[in-house]
Amino acid sequence: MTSIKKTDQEKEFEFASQWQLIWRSFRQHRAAMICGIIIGVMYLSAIFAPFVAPYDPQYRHRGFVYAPPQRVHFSGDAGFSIRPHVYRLTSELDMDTFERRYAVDTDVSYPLYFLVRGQPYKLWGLFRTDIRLFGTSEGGHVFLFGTDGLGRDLFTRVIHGGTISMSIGLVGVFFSFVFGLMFGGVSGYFGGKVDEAIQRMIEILRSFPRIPLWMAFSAALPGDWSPIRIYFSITLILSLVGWTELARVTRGKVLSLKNEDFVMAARISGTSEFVIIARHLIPSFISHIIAAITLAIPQMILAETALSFLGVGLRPPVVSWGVLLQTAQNVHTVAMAPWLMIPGVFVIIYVMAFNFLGDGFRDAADPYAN
Amino acid sequence: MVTAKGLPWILRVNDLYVEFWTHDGVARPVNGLTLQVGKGQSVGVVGESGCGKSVTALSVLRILPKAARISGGKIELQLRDGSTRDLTQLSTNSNEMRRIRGGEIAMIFQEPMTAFSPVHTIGNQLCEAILLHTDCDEKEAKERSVESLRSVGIPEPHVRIDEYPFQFSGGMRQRAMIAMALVCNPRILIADEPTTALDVTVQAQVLQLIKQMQSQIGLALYLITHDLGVIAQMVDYVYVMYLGCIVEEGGVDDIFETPLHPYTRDLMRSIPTVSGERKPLSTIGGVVPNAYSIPSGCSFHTRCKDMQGEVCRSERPAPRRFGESHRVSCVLYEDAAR
Amino acid sequence: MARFVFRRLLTLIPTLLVISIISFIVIQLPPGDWLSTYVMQLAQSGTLVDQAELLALERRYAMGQPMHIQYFRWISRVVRGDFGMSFEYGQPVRELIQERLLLTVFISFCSLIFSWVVAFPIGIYSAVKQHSMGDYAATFVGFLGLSTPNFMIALVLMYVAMQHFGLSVGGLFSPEYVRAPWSAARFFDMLKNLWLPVIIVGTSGTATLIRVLRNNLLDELQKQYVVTARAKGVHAVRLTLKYPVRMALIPFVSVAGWQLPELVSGEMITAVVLSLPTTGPLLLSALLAQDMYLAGGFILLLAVLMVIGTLLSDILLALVDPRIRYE
Ligand SMILES: Nc1ncnc2c1ncn2[C@@H]1O[C@H](COP(=O)(O)OP(=O)(O)OP(=O)(O)O)[C@@H](O)[C@H]1O
Ligand SMILES: [Mg+2]
Repeated sequence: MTSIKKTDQEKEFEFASQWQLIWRSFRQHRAAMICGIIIGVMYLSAIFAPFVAPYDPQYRHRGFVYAPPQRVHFSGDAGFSIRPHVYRLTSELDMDTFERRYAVDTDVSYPLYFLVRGQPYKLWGLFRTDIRLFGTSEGGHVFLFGTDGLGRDLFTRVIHGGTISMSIGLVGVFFSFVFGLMFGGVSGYFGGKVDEAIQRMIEILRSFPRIPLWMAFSAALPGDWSPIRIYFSITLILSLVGWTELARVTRGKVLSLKNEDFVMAARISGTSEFVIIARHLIPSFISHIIAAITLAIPQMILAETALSFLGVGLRPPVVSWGVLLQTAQNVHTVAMAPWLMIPGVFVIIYVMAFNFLGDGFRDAADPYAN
Repeated sequence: MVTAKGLPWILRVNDLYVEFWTHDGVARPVNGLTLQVGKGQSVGVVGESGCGKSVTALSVLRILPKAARISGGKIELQLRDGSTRDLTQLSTNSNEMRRIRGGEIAMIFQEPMTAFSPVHTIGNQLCEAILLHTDCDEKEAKERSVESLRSVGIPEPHVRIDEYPFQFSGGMRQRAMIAMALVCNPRILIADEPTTALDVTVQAQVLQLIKQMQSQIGLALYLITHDLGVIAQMVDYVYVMYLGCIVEEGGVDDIFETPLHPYTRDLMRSIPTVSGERKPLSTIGGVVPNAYSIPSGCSFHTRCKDMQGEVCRSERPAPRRFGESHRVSCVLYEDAAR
Repeated sequence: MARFVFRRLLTLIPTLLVISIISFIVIQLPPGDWLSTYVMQLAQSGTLVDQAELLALERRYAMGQPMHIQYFRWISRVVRGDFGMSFEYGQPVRELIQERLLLTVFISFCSLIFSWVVAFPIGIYSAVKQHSMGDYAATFVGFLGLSTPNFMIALVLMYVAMQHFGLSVGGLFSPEYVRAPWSAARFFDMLKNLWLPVIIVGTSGTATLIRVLRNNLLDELQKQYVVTARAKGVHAVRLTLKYPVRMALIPFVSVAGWQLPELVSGEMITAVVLSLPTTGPLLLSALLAQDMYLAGGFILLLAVLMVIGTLLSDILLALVDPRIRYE
């Protein structure tokens, strides 16, 4: 009702603090903060995957097919020790069922060391080294998540799979972002017939069940394409259907920017247009887009996982979480080696963290909402 | 006890305190507020935005938001049978309290646009009130609703009653709102800025309607507004409110002719001039302090043009009497009081 | 209302057109034309290819003609209910698809009902008791359901059923009914096996619905009309149900509308894991074998069903929201 005249200084303060307001309101979202940290750690380990993983992702450990996860112990016969160790795994072939039986041999223990020399690798295709984050002493094995049907260390593969899966989220969202910004921006800016047409297109795309469509497009990718080509095609396919939400947000924002009340208000009170745009519109626009992007990333991962799981997404030897889960496709395998589901746990953590983070961003993007 | 004008009182708020517990701390929008409404009397409460007018009204009906609680004081209501109830002692959702709401005290709100549920018909929302407070059956309730719509001047009420709020204009909606408030014959009507959201011409009509209804059924009116023009036109007794307490009260002539409190005097300067131009209330320097940090002493001292120094900062002035019904809480009148 | 439905029906025409074009593109996607693939397959399996039959097929599908002619040939047959032949199975696509599609729709529909029934009370509770332990728990479980791929839920539930209850789950019918013709007994047998897929498919949708309902209800609870109703003396419980919950139902219904495609997507993946006799497994194998008329038929019909579903939910929306009806 009562319009309170503010001094210029006060006005200045309010505009300048838009980002601070967003930040402050975001920080109140404790869950979102924690999830941000979790995501940070996951991406770090993806970037340094060969270093974090103790083995080569394709290396087959002879005699360790479907080995169960090993527990890391801190205390043994000698009592508690700071240095963790694992016990030796022994296996024997059951001659009736031809299944391998594993037993823990507590007599032999292998201590775990940080920064040990292991199999050599090339970090980012640049540095040749053989230093790994952790490993056992000579002769021992450490399978934190067990091994798969070919004796490959699952922990290693989960870390490497994360690199692919998590980057698909980013790359796919980048594509969607480009499409979404383009279509949404055009739609909101020009309005009228163009807007109508684009809106109908979005509606149709949304009414399509996505999985069959994705399946159809991915299944049509030639089998002889290189993994990197398949990778980009899959991300492109995912974002072809996934851009609609971003377009919606962009359109809404552009529309409201065109005739926003506070633009009028600021104009009337004599603030220059540039100041309005720089101080107020851009933060509000960007923060909404960031929130939408954050919520779109987990959709990408879930889609990739589903496609790869069905065998029409990424294909081995590429390692992604979806590809890893493909080995857990039937329940009998899962019953025999439940640890094969561990990559799924990572999918869940990742997706959930992004959802919480996105929620936090979205709430924070509207610092005036409450 | 009788009110200043010699009428027996019907609603008496005594030393009321309300707190909001929020993320940002504790807000205290009402701080030791005392006022009375006499039977059939029209009382106005005026003050700047954010000084706790609405919160007071909501406390009387015990419909404060969840975050709020009444932390002190009494709200006494004289029931039809002559007995007295302290509303602060009733639980918000008790049968008795619900009978009082709508039955004894009704309320209309500032925003006729949002005050009705958009997906229920006007008739549905009107009948609900009747069915709650009387033992009519649905048919009678509907008849009474049509009747009440007619009485507030809505044309073709039997048709409009089955329409949705979005099919009504703003003025119509406010009329329907008044009909809904009065349909159960309450004895007090709290009107929280009933015309602020309306066009000027419609404003006058709605005020006229309220006045007419009031005289028809002998209703007490508790009118909340920013607009001193409305006060002058509608009420005979005025409470001037600042940061949750009454700083000055008196008959409408006393207040307009001899405003005493510096705050009231500042408010008076914002009355519409002859040319009809209306200046906002905020010609008073500075901003209303927020309810999270109420200034000590006389809470107006931070903006007062007649600040007397340390006493204003440290001591809360008590109300002093001037004449028959004029009271003011300000150290300026410490000695002059009669 | 009639006008609303009519206008809404008009908008279907361009939608259906685009859908048919997309489906046609899907059919044309694999490199090479399917006829040569077909001939090659036949040759590999040692069957002699009858030249006359080949010519007839070529004419029928307008092979070698420009794309738009092929499209019109195809769509005019589709309109008459002829979706072409499956080369993998040597049967008309329609026969193969029919029952599976119906089962998919049935399971998706049951899942929708399931998620409504679960989400509704939880959403209301969560909003009314905001910041309570129950609210936090519901929010967390909701996020968990949202973040877990359908097939993971399927695998875990199957695993639990097998390890802890000794149940062997999977499929939709008990062995004796798998090949039996439809009968009341077969239907009831299906209902007995239905719970698992319905829970699995419904879970992620439930999470979304809970969040939507909770957030909207929280908004609505702040609205002025709630205060008005309280001022009338309406009882708190009755008030919440009559006004804010009723209002929050509107976004709830519209969300349910565009959730249909997701439900069907979820059903397909779940069906692969549980090996249900529904769309998922057959579509997948058709795509992998490049049996494109079969795949294209599935995709076209799924999309059409979705459009019908959205139409129904729009009508439902107009029923719950008078503002749309009187627009
Ligand atoms: N829901 C709430 N949560 C927290 N604080 C509140 C809430 N409602 C009101 N308040 C506090 O109470 C103070 C007074 O509010 P109130 O609505 O009574 O003012 P008002 O005098 O009616 O103003 P207006 O003229 O703008 O209606 C506000 O400044 C605010 O600090
Ligand atoms: Mg108010």
